[in-house]
Amino acid sequence: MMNYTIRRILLMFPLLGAISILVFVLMDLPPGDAVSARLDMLAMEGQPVSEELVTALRARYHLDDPLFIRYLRWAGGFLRGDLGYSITMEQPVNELVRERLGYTVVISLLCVLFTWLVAFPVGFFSAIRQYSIPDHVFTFLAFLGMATPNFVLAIVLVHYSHNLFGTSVGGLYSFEYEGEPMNTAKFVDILRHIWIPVVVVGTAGTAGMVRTLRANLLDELRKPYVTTARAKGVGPIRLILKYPVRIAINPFVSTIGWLLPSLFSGDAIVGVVLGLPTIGPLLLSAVMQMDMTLAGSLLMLMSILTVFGTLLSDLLLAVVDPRIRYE
Amino acid sequence: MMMKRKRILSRTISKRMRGDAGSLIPGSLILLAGGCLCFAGSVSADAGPMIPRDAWPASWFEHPKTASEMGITEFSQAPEWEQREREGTLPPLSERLPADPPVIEPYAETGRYGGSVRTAGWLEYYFNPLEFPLRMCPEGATTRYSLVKEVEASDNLTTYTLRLREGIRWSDGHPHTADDYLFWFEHVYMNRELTPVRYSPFYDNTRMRAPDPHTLEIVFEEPNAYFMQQLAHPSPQFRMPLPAHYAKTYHPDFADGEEIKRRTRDLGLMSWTSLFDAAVIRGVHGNRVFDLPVLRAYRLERVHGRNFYYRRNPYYWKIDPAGQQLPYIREIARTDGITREMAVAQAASGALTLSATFFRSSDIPFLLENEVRGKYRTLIWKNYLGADTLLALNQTHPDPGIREIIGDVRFRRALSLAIDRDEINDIFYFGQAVPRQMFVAPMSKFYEADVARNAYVDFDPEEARRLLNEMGLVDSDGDGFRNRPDGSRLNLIVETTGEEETMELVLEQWREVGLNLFLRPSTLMLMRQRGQGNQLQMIAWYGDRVGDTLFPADPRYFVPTVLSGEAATWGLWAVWFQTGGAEGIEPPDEAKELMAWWMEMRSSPDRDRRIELGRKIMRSQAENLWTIGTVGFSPKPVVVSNRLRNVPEQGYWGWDTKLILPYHSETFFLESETP
Repeated sequence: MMNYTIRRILLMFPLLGAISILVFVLMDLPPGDAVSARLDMLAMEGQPVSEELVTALRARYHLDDPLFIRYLRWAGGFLRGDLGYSITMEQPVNELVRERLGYTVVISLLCVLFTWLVAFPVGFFSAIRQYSIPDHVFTFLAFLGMATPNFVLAIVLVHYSHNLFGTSVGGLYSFEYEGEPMNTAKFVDILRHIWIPVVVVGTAGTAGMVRTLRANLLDELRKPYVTTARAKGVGPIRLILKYPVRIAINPFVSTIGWLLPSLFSGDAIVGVVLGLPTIGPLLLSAVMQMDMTLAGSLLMLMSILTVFGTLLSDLLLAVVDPRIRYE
Repeated sequence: MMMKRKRILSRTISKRMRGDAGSLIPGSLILLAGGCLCFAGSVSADAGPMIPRDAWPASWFEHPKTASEMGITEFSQAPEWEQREREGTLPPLSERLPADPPVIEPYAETGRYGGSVRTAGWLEYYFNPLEFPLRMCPEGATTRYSLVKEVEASDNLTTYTLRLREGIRWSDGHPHTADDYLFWFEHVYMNRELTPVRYSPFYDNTRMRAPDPHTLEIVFEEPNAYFMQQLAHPSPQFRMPLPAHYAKTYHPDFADGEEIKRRTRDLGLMSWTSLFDAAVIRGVHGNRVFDLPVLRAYRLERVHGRNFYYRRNPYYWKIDPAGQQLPYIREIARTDGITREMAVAQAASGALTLSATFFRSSDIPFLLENEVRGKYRTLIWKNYLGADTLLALNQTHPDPGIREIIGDVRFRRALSLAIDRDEINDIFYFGQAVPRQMFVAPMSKFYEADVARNAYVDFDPEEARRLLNEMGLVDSDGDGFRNRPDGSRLNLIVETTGEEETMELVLEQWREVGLNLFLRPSTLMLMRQRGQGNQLQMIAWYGDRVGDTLFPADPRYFVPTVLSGEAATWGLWAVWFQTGGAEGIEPPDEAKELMAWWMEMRSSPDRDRRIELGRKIMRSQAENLWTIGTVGFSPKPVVVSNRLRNVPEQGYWGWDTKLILPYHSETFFLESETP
């Protein structure tokens, strides 16, 4: 176990190095860069855009240096904890991330909790009462949840929450609490808004999770050891919880690996639609405006979290599932 | 059901467009009037019902009168400034106002002080436009004195003398003088690092001097006929005046280099130019707000994430006819970075006091529907657009076959004649836009009604087919669509970044005459790059710059001046002109004429001659269709809270009027503090 863990951790470094090169090169491939995005902005304001201006701006932001020089500058800063400088936002990336990290993690954690709290009991129930009426209802809802695009659900919920409860449209809290320190009133107001993204993002995950759990559990319930245990008189609840559930829970554990990066970025589309102050929309706009440093640094952070998360879930799986060997 | 709904809508919209409350007129009469308006719009090929000049106070078309001219001797101010004056933390009003302040007549009534408004979008011009030496009038044409009280031009139009109003102060109390202009010119504009590239009207050989603190003399080497327009609607890099006393502390010509380096580093910025941009031009960096002095009605007070809060400027230098210092409203809150959909939803929920930037004609039904619950009115203004959807064809395309077809005026005329503009108007604009060719606005000096009407704008598919047959573009392979003369497929691609809806219909109409064109949705960035690489065939864009302020300065849709995405008509011709014939493609005589006319128009001291030249450019457009229009001056919804007063019932919205710049947002006021 110890050897295995150390080996995995050591392997992570060359892996992340390769990822960083890939990220940087991929970001550089499409035509255009942050300066072109900046020029679009200027042109929209009515400023004439000329070749000379492009050249001058590119020189100002060192965009004409060779690719590997820019890579070394970026990667070097990254190792020292400096995520670089966003050209389109004119701000250090560290600051941009810090501003948004808190809300992103809170929303994503709540989404995970929501998913687990709903998916686990529902999947469990659907499996042991297969083809019952509640199973059909849940299955129907689960498919509906998987099939509905998140952003549509978001808009519908915003509409009803405004019409029924008078919640302000968009954002994470009403206008009047902007910039105020956290207090009871603001907290309550946030609660009134935060459930929408949580339900929206959570629903999609929940639906998938319910189906996986149900299928896995059904597989296990039909195995001979279950019949044997039942014949020997083990109580029904204890029986299911002790063996089949431990195996059926695998998908929960293995998704922990994906959880870390998603905690960090949140759901970009829903974030954009609902106007949330999270990292997802920031990443989206960085990619669209070809802000290489910003997008590259965010992608790199997510890659690191993914690699760590995968290791974490592999180790956890080994603990949960006794069948796994370290070879 | 659809028809009925549409009729009610166009009725409501046309009623709103006349600025008519309509409460006394029986319903049937309104219906009749609405019907007439639609009818009038569809028979006349161009003029359509434009906004009458009496829709705004007559004084908005003249230079503002001053307090002494109006006989105003008593001035009053907002309660919070009175309070601070009593506490002794603010100098008395008489010392803050200019000696003889300009008087701005509000749209409807004298306002009351107080309240805060909320708006959304990255354009801050809503309530708080930048102040420039001049301001344009509601039709986006004539310029009125603003920061200056007089401008004198020499007979040959090379020397302009600006006389500044005495006693105007920046929001920190520092006097506004000619120094603020000189500083910008000498140390910002002429600084290679801050301004890498120079544009019209100022070049290296322009001279500027200040004989006294309130006089500024600008001497151009070449005559500049449209400098007044440039002073009222300057391009964004033209940031004159800047508060010199403050800006100097961020400029290495004056401040200590080490200190600037330290500040740049502290903010995590890359260079002193970024620091200068943040501290002096934008006044904000992230959540950090600088003490940037302003001349505008509000100054930025704090920023939280994407929310910007502005508070009124105690030194604002305009008054209303009752002697009250403007502006009336205390505070503005603006949310930046929300999507179009969210902005529409917020407006419909009544959360925004004033909003318009994001809205399209197609949002009108939804906005009307939610009026009562959202406690707002939807004013129907007009987009200041010669063409809501503008088609530009690249006459310098690298493929000689395509170049020959597009370059043939018969092809462009056929494209225009095959467009059923009334159908577009009915389907997308409730019949309330104006079917017209891409042409200057009807209120322009360069507009000639008969020329505009005869610009191949009436739907005539038969004639279009005849022209195409005459060109030899016939269906030679029997697939139902026309081929090139050599028999190969005629596949033209129209690229666009947001005109997809209208274009689908236009493509359908072109298919009726046997032309099979394709639509490729693109992004601004991609289109600009393809434009600069001369790879575009046709683009769909929108046609602004059709008023008397912007058309003479930048006639990019009518004269081959720029090589970029939105004017794809003549990329390599523009290069040819810019390089004096060294590069690019030599344009035909018609295009050379255009360029010669425009060059003369920019510098001719003879006003009548300039008008004649502008009209020649437009006659050439009517004849040659350098760009093709569909419908223009489409309805623009402006959502206004029921509490907000003095917002004109009618107005033009667009870059030509800098959104709502001419409509004096400093005189808007709130009837009550709470919704």
